[in-house]
Amino acid sequence: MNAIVDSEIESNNEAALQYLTFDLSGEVYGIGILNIREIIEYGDLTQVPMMPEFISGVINLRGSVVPVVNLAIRFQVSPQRRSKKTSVVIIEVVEDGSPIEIGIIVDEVREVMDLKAEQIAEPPTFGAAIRADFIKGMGKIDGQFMILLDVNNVLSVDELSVIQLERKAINPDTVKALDPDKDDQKMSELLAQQGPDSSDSLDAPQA
Amino acid sequence: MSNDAGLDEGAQVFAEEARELLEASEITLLKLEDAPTDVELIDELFRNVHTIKGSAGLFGYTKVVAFTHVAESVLDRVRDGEVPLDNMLISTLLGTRDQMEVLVEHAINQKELAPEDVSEGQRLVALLDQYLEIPGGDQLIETEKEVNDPENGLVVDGPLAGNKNWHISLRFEKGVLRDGMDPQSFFRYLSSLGDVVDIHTLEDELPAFAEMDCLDCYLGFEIALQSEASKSEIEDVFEFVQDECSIHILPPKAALSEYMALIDQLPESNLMLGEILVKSGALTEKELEQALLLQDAVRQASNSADLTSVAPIGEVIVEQGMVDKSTVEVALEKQTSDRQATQSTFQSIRVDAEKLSSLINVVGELAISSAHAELKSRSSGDDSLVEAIEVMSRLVDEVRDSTMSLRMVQIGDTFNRYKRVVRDLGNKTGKDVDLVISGGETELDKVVVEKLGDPLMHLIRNAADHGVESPEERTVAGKTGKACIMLSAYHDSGSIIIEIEDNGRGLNKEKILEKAIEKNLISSEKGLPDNEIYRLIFAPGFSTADAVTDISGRGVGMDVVKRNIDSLRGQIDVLSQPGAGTKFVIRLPLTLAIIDGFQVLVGDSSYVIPLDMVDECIELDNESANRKDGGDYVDLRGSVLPYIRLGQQFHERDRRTEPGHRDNIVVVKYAGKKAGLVVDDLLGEHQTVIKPLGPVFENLAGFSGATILGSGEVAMIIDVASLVGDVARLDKGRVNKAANNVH
Repeated sequence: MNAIVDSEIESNNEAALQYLTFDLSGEVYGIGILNIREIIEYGDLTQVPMMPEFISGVINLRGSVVPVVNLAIRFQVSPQRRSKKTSVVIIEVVEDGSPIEIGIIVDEVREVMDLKAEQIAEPPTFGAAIRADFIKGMGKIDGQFMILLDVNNVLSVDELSVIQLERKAINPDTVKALDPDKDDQKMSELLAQQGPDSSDSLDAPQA
Repeated sequence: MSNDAGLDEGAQVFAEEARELLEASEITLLKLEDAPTDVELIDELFRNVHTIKGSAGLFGYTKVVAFTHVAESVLDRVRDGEVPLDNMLISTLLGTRDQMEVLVEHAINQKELAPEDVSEGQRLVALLDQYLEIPGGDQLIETEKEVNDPENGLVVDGPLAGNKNWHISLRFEKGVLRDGMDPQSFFRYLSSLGDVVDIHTLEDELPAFAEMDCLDCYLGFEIALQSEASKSEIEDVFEFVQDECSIHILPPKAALSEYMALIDQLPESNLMLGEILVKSGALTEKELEQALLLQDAVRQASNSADLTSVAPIGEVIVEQGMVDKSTVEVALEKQTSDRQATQSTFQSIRVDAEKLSSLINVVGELAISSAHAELKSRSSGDDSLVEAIEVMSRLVDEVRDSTMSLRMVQIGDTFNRYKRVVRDLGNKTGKDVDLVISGGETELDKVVVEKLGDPLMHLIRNAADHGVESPEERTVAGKTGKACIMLSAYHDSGSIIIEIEDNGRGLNKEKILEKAIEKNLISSEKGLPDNEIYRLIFAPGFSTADAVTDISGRGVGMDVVKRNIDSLRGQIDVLSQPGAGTKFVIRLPLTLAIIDGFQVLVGDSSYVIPLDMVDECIELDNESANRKDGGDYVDLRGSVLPYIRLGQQFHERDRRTEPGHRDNIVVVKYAGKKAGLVVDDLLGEHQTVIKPLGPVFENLAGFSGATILGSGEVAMIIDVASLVGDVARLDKGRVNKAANNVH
């Protein structure tokens, strides 16, 4: 899988060094734009029972059923806050030679950045906040480090398809099949009452 | 079909045609075994083999042609009644068919034959040659041979041309290239019949360069061929283009008058043609002179005498060539009728599977949006709109049904393949086994049929190899000497059932237990019911056969079968009666892309249950819901109906505490059993397009896919059989655990 990505980098140097950056639980991450199909608004998510918790559900992407992954749970970082800016980034990964589309929930999409090869450092062998094999490299912009994700490991189908044999606790906070308008309305009411930090969490934190 | 990628279109058509014909030949051969004198079957077989040879020749697959030719010759003699079609010959011909398949596959993939394939081919040719050596004596054939024989055929008065070559005049029509015929391929095939001594290309028809259409063929050819082949064999070369070109074939040493006729018939100037004929060695200068003289003489005669009394030269020639012409006509007629017969058996259009699935997808979307439109029209209150939409959605339903049927194929063809397997196995093991097929007309999705081929093959081999006994054993056991394997298919409440049943010795329970304990599959045999014991044979690496034969018994069988069936979201079960036989039951869901669904609400989510599975809907009353014994079952008109709370099962929000909430039970039936699914609300019927869930959800049981509702939301489709099976297994584990804890 990595070999494919590497060869893409070699053959298409310019594009491979362009990264889409996004916010997730207060951290900035980057994904090579070659893997990205499109970015859509968050909403209308259908939960799939018995799947691992980081599979938030499935969405209808123009007639295809596409699984959506909650990266915050996958990375075991603090839960996401849902806002108007919450988006689903559709990413293409290659499984058994055929491409499949998987969505990830991000807090906010930032921009597409050009990174020169010398701006990308090797991933740290330890000490990172997320699993080392999720990191493809560290991008350095204005003296700040940004994690560049290895999507084929982050969205490894082998790991995503593991069935949750233990029954999940039913969490009443888990919201699915959102009506964005209503939610936004609810959200703004909440924001008005209690300030930004108390809006309800998108998904339950890892138990 | 993936191995066909990269083949050019023509070769691909050949590959498909050849495979189809080979398959048909196998079935015909097996039928012939029961009715060895059926003339129609023999003719059909001959036609198939002949067509394969012909088209292989077109593509220059010389190995296929050479081998098939021998088979064809033998079949020709069978057809003429010179060689009786006995079991020996049928076996040989079946082997020949297999070898043809090998040759065809190698030819289209442009691979070299393995040495064992080559020696098998030689062995078969030697066997077939024996049949060619049997002296035959049919009078009709003799005369036909005489006519075709260039040496003493055509008894025509007048001088004969001295050369020993066939002369062939070809004028292609313009469209020949567009129809995928390459003139070169005919020359290639011709050269397999003998030596092409000379080819003269006629380019007079070529228009000015500016007017030339590069897709048109403007050429004509004059060919001299040295060959031992008969005229009909040479005509066969051009069988595929005979409608699109004019062909004149002159045998060696034809009468000069025939050459003249030829020259007259062809559009080019006589003088030029004469030169070409001389050049190609068909005629010598002297012969040409003589011919021209002859023509003059005839002309003079016709001029001097009464014009009406002397037939024009063309007619004279035709008269002279009568013998041959009529034979040609008969032959042509026969070929045409042959071809019509072959075509009527395969009256179908080949469609790219990709195109079909995109059509099915669009029709699915159409069905959804039509359901949506119907809903909207009802709420609009506009009666004329409602009516219009209703008419439309009825049509949409029809379109949907006929589109779905496009992908459905009868399973009979697959079943028939196994007749051969059982026959060969029976011969090999000395058992007398009959394969009885029923329900061959049951239709299944083509994808399912293809994936079902291997597991079924395995089960049938097992049944023939291990399941049934030898005739001696059977007689001792008081059974008829002929064993029987039943293969049947039928529909059962939204599923398709395929059964493989033999009347053999049955499974050996003790042996299975012994083996299972030895392989650590179970710790002790205590308390296992019979059907659980039998099911152990599906465990990986399990085999009870004492001897590993080349047919089965390596222990990698049944678990693979089970995995294959699982991958089709089906189930397999085994029933056995010692001494009486074994029966495998395969249950497959109708994996159609579109089904009628029943939409229910569980928590906040919509789920869809296939409507075929739904029997009725009842209310879950308070008393049954809160049984003192904690059991999940209700009394359904006197019988016990166990139920599953989908809310708990799917971890949905519990709505039971909501005011005015009522639990509903959807009663589903599968495999003759009934179960209840407790849901929060019933939302009614819904046209359901099954969307695959993709590899991320490959391990998820209980769902057969997802669908998109009119609102655009995704709903999961419940796979009743696997869901209920899962829950039953979990329950059993729980009860067993509880029982163990008591001890």
